[in-house]
Amino acid sequence: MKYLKFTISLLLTAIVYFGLNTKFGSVPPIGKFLNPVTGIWQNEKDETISGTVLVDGLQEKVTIHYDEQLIPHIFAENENDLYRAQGYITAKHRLWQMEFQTYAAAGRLSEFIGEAALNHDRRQRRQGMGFGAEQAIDKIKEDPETMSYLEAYAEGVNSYISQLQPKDIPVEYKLLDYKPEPWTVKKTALLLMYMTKDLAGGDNDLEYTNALRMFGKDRFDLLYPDFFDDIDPIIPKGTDWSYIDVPMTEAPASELPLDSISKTIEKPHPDNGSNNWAISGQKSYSGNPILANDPHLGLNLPSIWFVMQLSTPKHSSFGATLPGALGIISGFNNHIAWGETNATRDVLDWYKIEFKDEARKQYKYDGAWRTASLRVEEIKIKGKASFIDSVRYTHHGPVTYDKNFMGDNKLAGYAMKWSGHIGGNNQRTFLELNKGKNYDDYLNALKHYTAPAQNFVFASAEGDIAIWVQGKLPNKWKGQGKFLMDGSNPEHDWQSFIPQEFNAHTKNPERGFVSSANQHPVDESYPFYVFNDGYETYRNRVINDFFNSRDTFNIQDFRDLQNNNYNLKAAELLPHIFNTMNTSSLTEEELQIFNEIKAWDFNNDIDELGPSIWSAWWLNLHSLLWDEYKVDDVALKTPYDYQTIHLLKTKGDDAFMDIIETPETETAADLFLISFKKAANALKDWKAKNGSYNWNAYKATYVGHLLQGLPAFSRFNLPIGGGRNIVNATKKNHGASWRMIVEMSTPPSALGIYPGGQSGNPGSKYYDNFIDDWAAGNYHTLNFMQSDSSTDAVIGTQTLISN
Amino acid sequence: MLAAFISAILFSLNGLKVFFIPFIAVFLFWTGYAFVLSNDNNFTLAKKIAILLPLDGNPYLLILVTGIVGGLAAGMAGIFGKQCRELVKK
Repeated sequence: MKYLKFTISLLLTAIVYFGLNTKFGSVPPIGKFLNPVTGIWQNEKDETISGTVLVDGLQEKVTIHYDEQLIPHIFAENENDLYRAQGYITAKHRLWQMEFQTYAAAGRLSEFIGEAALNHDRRQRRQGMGFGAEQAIDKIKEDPETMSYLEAYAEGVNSYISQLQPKDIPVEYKLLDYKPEPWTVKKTALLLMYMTKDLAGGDNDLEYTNALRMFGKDRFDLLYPDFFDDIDPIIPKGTDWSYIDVPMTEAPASELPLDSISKTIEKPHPDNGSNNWAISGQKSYSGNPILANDPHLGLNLPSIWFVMQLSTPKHSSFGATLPGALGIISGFNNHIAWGETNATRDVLDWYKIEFKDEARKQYKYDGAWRTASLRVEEIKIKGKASFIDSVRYTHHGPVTYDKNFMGDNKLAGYAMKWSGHIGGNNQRTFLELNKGKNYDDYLNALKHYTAPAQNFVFASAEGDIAIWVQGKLPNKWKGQGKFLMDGSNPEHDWQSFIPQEFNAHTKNPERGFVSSANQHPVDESYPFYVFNDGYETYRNRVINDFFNSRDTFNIQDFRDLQNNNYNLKAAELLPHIFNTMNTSSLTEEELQIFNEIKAWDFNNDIDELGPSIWSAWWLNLHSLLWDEYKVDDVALKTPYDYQTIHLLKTKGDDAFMDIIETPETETAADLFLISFKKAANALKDWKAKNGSYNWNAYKATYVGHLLQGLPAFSRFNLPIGGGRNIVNATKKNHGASWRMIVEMSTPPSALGIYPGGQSGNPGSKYYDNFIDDWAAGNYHTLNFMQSDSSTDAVIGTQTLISN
Repeated sequence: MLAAFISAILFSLNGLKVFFIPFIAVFLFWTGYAFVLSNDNNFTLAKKIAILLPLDGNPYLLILVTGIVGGLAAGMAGIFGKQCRELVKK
């Protein structure tokens, strides 16, 4: 009997022990997780911001002063210590995020998330994310100074990791039951690839190929013109390009492979972009140039940005950094300020590859067979055997689509040509900007920069303002890259790159300001091909009209502009609709809603009903207009909103207006009415469930934790207005991830804020403490400390000394 | 669990006490320690973990669950320890 009791209790004990220490699906190992000695209870605290810490490899002492925003002001004696300290301090506050983002970029999420992440990981590998990082490192190796800083940063991070006790590892590790691994230079390169993919990893070539096949060239050009009828480009119209003596590449007379593509890989968020602008001293209330930048990215916690001051006796810079990369990315120093918006030029093209046979070792090129190389990607999966994905590489790049991944042809595939694969020393650009003193330094810094192409805005205390569209940009023939190209035809390859000095730019333009909001970089007089559908057409006009409307501007004007909610798109279509739509058939309920939107002043403010009605209406109108696009198994992308509205207003009888399903032939006016009734119905339902459809409630902006918006660690229902194609570009989960305004006084004075907090620990009061202020349109004054002496503004000082 | 197991081997208890003494000991230790740590930080993380686990955002409930989890493990180990002791006893 006692053996029986023994055995049963042994079994039960084993089950309890196993049960409490094992992760089941998404439930963490509950025993470990809730144990107060090792589990989440140990994370109920803020990071230490005082005392002395031993860090391997430091040459001299580093002092870090923290202000009440928990912004670390790092004072090192030399560059190597500075970047080592940046690595250590960033890891202290944001380790899990740094690791998560680089695991994601490397296609390694399956290692701790399991099979659910396999498709994501395969995609990253097949897009050549690791390949691109390796190319970048090869390029950086030519620059031993920058390489030594990257190594110092990595060692700084590792210094932090090595002293981390298991009980103190961040909550997310405990939740997913894994541990941090050492940081490497490759991880910094992967973090930069992550940003490159987000900003320059978009394309619609395959969708356009389908559209070209379906609609024919004339119709296609109507839907996707190279230039819209009226544009307000980054580099002002009428700029003189006569100094450019390199011609555009000549278009070959050859055929395009008009394949039918059923599904394409996931794209980055199409609204990834930003605003930036700068005014000259003449237009400034104080005589000092003023610069502003607000990058638009997914709103996540921990925030993509981490604010720091980085100082040595020789230079001192302040601004937003990207955890995992070095230097200040969007910020300023004592002499200059800089910021970026995405240049969104098409730098990702697809080439159809024909393999010789099923061995797929050779592909057709220039009338012969060329060898493809093989890259074996081992994807480790938690709790299962590894997945082996073999990717062929051609001289264009990786064959992303093939018979094993999103393709169905045994002997064909699509290879990706991407500027993200061209090894660039982009890190150096930011390190040089951090140290720059004038326009020449800024220009020299930009010369290293390849991808993702950005519109770099600039202002100096000396009085210069400028903007350069900088990246390694292919000199394409007219139409090149719009569609799938022939991978066997050498004429379809990228023939050359636009010489850096001929990238579009302007310095101290007559109009007294520079700006960019992801719009067309230039007008048609620029001698190179710059097509990209999806160039912004609204934010840029609101910004430029504002600066053209007056002679002088101050800081409050800049704040107002960054928070401007004017919906130019609605303002350009609704009056036309009100003039043409027949409202006689509207019910009383519908008429009430119609009057609500008629009374709207086109500002997407939080208490307005108009923006919600517009949003529902536009959704339905867009869907009805482009019903021709709803084709099963054919990947398509609808035309940009500006062109859509242009067609609605000027070609109301076009065949596209017709709704295929119905026997009648509809015109634009019919679509306005039908879509309005549908929208009114949807809003009625919404109101019954949720109450008033004011823009605040309807948009329901949230900032989501990186683990797919884990509710416990996210923030919901943020009272902020704005929207897509509005200067305050805040949408449901995407918008101004950082807002900065810098006046180039001596020393500069600056404001900054972002929707998050400096700490990556959900248990810290600094996790999300900036969010309410950000939503309200408030800013923090950035305390640009001019010396390493402590002041009243310092709430804690940590000293790093050599181990 | 190990401490409870060893204690049960060394100190013979009878009946329900075999389970409940270690259960209560660890329950008190875990809830007490968790409370102190969390209270010092205004229950900031506890409230969030209590949303992650379906506890309606209630940090006190989380502390209770913490105590039960720890106590259960200890109680189980205690029983097992007693059974081992019984097994080797003449």
